[in-house]
Amino acid sequence: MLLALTATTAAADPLDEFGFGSGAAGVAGARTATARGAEAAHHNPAGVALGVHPELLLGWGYGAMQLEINGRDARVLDVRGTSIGLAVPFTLDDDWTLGTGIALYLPDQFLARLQLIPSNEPHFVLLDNDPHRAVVEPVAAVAYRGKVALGAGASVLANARSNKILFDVGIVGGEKVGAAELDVELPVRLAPLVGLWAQPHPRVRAGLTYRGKLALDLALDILANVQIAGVVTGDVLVSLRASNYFTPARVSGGVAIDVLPDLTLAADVTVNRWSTYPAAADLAVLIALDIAPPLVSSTVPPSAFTDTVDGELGIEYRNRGRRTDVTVRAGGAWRPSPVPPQVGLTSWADGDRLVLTAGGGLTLADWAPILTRPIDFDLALQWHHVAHQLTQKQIDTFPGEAFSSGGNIFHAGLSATVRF
Amino acid sequence: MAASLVNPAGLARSGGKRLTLGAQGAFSNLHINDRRTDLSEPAGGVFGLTAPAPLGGALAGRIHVGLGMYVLPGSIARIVARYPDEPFYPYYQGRTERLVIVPGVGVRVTSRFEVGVAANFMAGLGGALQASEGSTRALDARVDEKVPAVARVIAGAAWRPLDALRVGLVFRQRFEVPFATRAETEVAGEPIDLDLRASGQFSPSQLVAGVAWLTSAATVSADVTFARWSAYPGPFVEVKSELPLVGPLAGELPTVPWKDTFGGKLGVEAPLGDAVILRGGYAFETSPVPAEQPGVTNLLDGPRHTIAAGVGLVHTRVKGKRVRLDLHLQTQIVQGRTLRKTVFAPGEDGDGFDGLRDEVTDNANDPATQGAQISNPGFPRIDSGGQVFAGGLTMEVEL
Repeated sequence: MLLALTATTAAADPLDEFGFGSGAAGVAGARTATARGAEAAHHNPAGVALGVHPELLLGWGYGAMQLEINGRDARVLDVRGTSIGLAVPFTLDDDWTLGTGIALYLPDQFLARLQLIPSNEPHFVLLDNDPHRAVVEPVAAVAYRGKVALGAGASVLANARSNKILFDVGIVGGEKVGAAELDVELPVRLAPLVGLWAQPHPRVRAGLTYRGKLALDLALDILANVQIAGVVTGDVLVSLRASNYFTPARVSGGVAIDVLPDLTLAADVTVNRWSTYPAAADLAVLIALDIAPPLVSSTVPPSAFTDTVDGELGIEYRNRGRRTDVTVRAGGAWRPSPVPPQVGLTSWADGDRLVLTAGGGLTLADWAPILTRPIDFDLALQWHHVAHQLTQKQIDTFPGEAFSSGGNIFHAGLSATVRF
Repeated sequence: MAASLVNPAGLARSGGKRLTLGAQGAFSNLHINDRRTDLSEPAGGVFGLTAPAPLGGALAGRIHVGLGMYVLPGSIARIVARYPDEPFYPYYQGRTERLVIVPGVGVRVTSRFEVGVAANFMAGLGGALQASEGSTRALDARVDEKVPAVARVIAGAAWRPLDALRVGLVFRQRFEVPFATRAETEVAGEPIDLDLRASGQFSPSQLVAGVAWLTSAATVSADVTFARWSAYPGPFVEVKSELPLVGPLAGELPTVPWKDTFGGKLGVEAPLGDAVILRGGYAFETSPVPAEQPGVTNLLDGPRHTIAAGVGLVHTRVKGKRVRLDLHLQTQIVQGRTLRKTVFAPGEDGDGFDGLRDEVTDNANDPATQGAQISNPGFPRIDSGGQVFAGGLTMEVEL
C-alpha cells in the first residue's frame, strides 16, 4: 500500500515580520540603510563590518495573534521567542575593516513546526506557522573607510528526511515478531544573503539586500514489511512529503537621511517573489496487499501566489545626554497579501496588512568605571492589522462554504546590545 | 573556546577577545570480523569566541562569555537506530553526527577560584501524521511535527590552592536527540498505525575531576572521569504498530545491561622556546558495552587506549593581530573482542539479549527445519577491534 501526501504551507522569515532587535522593530523594520553591528546580521549583512567593537544583541518578544475566521478565534499560536545577534569587526588598517556576525531567532516553544492542515479547511496559510521557526543567519562583510561595505552570508534552515525507516514483521519460532531500524537526518538548507551599503553623503546612507528563497521540507517514508506466510505478505508504505516555511526570494532597497544631526528618516522597499510558491497538496493512495481497497487520489490546483511589494517607513530621534542617550522611534509598513482570491477548493485565509510601530531606547553611553563600553536597552511595540475580508466560492465548480477572516497582531519586544 | 565544553570555569581565564576557527576529522580502522567499517560524518568545522564582559570597577575582568561550535559540512544532526542484531560500534557510530553549540559564561570569584556554566544545545523531531478519507474521498491529512530545542547543562569549577597547583571539577548532563513520530492512517476502514521512538547522539551524564601541576618547564595534568552509561536507553528504535490482517504488534527489543565507565587521562604540555608548545597525552576508558552478548545484539566495542600529540605555534602576528596555531593528532585503540552466541534450548524462554531462538519450528517431515536455524549475523561468533585516527588544526586570533 502506498500512501503519499504532499503539502505546503507558506511563510516569511519571522524576523522580517517583527524585526531583529527592538531598535529595528520600533521603525517597522526600515533598517536596510541604517543597520550596523549585531542587528545588521539580519537587516543588511554589510553592516557587521561597520561596528567598532564586538557586539552581542539579546532580545525577547511576544506577539498576541488575535486573528479570526468566521468571527471566531482562529487559534493561531501566539509568537514568543529570543533574538541573539553577534557582530565581530576586525580592523585591518586605516582603510579596511572585516566583520563577521550571526543572527539567531529561537522560538520559545520549539525550533520549528511542520504543520499540514487540509487545504479546504479555512486557516491562515501565512500566519498560522510562519512566525514559529528558528532563524540562523551567519554573515561576513568588508568595509572601506566606513563609506562603502559589502556583506554576504546565508540563511540556514534544515530539512527533516528519513533515509530509512523499516519495520519488519515476520514469524520466528512460530511467533509474530517485529524489528525496526531507522535513519533520520536533519540536512542543512541554505539561502544566499548579500548586502551592499554606502554613505554617499555624510547625512545620507543607502542599502540594498538580496536573500534567496528557503523552505523546510519533511520527507518521511515508513516501510513495514509483512511476511506472515499463509496469513498476509507484502508491505505497507506510509510516505509523507510536506514543505513548510516557504520564504520567498526578496530584494530590499533602503535610504536613510539625517534630516537633523539627531533625527533620521529611513525608508525601505521590498520585492518578494511569492509567485515561486510551490503547488499545494497532492495526495494519493495506492492500495496493494491483500485487503484491496480502492485507489484514492486528489489533485489540487496551483497556489498562484502573486509577487508583492512591501514598503516600510521609520523615524528615529536621539537626545544625547551627558552619560545616557535617549532614543524615540516610530514607523509604519504596508504588506500586501500574496494569496489570491480563494474561490476554488483551497481556503487559505490572509489579508493585506498595515503595521504601525513605536519604540524607545536608552544608551548607557558613558558609565565608566562601572561599564567599559556602552550598552543599549530598547523597547518596541507593534500593531499589525490584517484586513477583514469575505471569501465566496464558485459554488458551481467547487463545493465549499464562504468564510470571513481578519484580525490584529499585537507585538512587544525588549532587547539589549552589549559591546565588548 | 574549548573551555565551554571541557570546563566552563576556564572561560574566566581566557583573557581578552579571541576568535577560533578550525577543522577536525577522523578515520576509522575499526573492524567487524575482517571488514573495515567507516564513520558516517568523519569531519567538521570548529568555531569559538571568547570575550570579557564590558564591566569595570570590582567586576573588571571577572566575567567572560564564550561560544563553542562544531559544524558538520551538510547536516545539523542524524538519528540512526538499527536492527537489534546489526553489528556496529555504538560508541562511534551514531554519536558524533550533530551540530554542537555550547554557549557559556565563566566567573572569576577570587584570584584563585573560578566557576562556569554552559549549555549544550540541539534539536529533536517529534509529532504525528493523521490521514483518512474525507468527504470528497480524497485523503484529508493533518501533520503536526515539531522540532523542539534540547538543552543540557555543563557546569564546572576550578581552584588554585597553590601557585603551581590547579584542580577542577566538571559535571556534564546527559544529552540525546529524540525522534518520535506517530502515523495514524485509515483507508477503506483498515487502520495502518505506526508509532516510532528512538534517540540518537547519546552522551551519558559525566563527572570529571582533574588536577594540573604548573611549572616553568611544563604543565602536567591528570583527569579521572565517571560516565553513567547504565542509563543509556540503547541505539534501537521502539515500534508499536497496527497493520491490516496483522493486528497490534510491538517491536521486541533486547534489554542491554550497559556498563558505567571509568576513565583516566594524563597530559603534558611543555614550551619549546618562546614560540612553540609541545603536547602529549595518554588516556584509558573502560567500555560501556557488555563484553558478553550471547543473544541477538552485536554491539561492538572494547576498552579504549588513546595516545595523542600536538604542537602549538604562538604569538605569530598577522596584520598586527596575535595568532596561535594548534595542531593535534590522536589514535584511539579499541581492544579486540569476540562475541559468542548461545541458542536457547527448545521450550526455554528468556530475553533476546541472553540467547538466540531457533527461527524455524522443527518439522519431522522436513529435514531442512531440523536443528537451529539462525540468521543473526553474529552467529556463531563475531570479532571486533581496531583504531580510530583523528586530527585537527585550529587558529586562534586575538581581536
